[in-house]
Amino acid sequence: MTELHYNTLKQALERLPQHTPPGSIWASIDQVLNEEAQLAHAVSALPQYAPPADIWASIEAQLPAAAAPQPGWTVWTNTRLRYAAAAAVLLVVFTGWLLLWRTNTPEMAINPVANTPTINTHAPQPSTTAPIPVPATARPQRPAPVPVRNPEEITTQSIVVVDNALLDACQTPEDQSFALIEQICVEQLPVCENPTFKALKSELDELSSAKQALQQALGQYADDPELVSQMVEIEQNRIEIIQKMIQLI
Amino acid sequence: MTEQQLILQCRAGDRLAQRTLYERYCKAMYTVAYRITSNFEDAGEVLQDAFLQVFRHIGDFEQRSTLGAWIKTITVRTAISHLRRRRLAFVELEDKHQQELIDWGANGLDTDYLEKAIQALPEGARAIFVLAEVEGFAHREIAEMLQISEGTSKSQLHYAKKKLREDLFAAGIIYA
Repeated sequence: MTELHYNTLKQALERLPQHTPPGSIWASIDQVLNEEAQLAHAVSALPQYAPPADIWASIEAQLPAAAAPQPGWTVWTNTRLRYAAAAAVLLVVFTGWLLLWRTNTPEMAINPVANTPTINTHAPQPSTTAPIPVPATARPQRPAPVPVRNPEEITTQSIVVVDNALLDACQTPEDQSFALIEQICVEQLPVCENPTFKALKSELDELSSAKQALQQALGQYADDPELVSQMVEIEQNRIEIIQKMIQLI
Repeated sequence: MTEQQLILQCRAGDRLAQRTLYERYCKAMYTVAYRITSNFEDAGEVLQDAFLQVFRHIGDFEQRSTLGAWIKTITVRTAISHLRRRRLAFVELEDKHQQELIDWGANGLDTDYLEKAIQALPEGARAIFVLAEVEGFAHREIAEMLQISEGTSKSQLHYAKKKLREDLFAAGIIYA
């Protein structure tokens, strides 16, 4: 668009008059605002009505069955939980590897008797090939011991943690508590006639016999982890029975 | 009372503040409405509707423009809406209008007669002339408000100016 003397128009437009609205316009606005305020107030003051109690029951009856929750999906969408699960899996794998590595290392085999470096240096003990008869109280849900035939088989067995002090106690012939009970019964004190005491004494005798048999089977080096484990269990049962008998005395 | 205080009190529904706001802007808005509608009665209706919208929606005013500009936009949109109810029409133009030279003369213009000449413009061209030359809206804004293309806005503005110049020349306000 081409214009000459455009400022002439611009200046004239700036001088155009303003017009004053009639006063009735504000009165109309004021009236509408008042009506709106009154309506809003009235609406907010309207009462609420409680529905009959059986309406919810009707609604609930028509609702579709709730969708089965998907905890797995919802849980695994949580990033933190995913990281935690990954860390747990890594920990389990690492622990498994560590256990396998330790089992395959000869120095980790149990040798509580002496600091002999490995059990592989010893010839297999013939006595360990046969299970040792153990009283029922001494064998709670434990499978029969696996006979050790050669060093390679040893590496496949699980590690048994042995309390050396307890094992020493098992191998100590002078069991003072046991001797005390034997002395009591030799003297025929009245408590020895107690049926409970008698039952406990019978169990103790069985366990003591089993202990002696195991000691013979273990031999000098006590290098069969399964037999060592059985020995520990027998000794723990013996201690429990002796404690019960002492309480009766 | 500052503009900010006025806004806050109007948001709270203070009727005195609303009245103050109305008094502050009513003349300018009434004039805009009159120039767009070309009718005082229609301008009164537009002003009432516009201020009711202002008071109802002042809570939405984000202060990205001045309060006056915000109210003017509401007033203009209300006036355009008012025109649409009467089927706002635009004169069909030929392309040659864009090329013609318009000379406003060097002697000044009689504002009373200019006002009458503006009101005598066809409705669509008048609305665009007022919005562009008097109220300062850009063609993009005018096109958006009137739901037309920017090209239509420009060509209608040129037509309005050409028609004004012809009327002013015919009345002896402008000399050849």
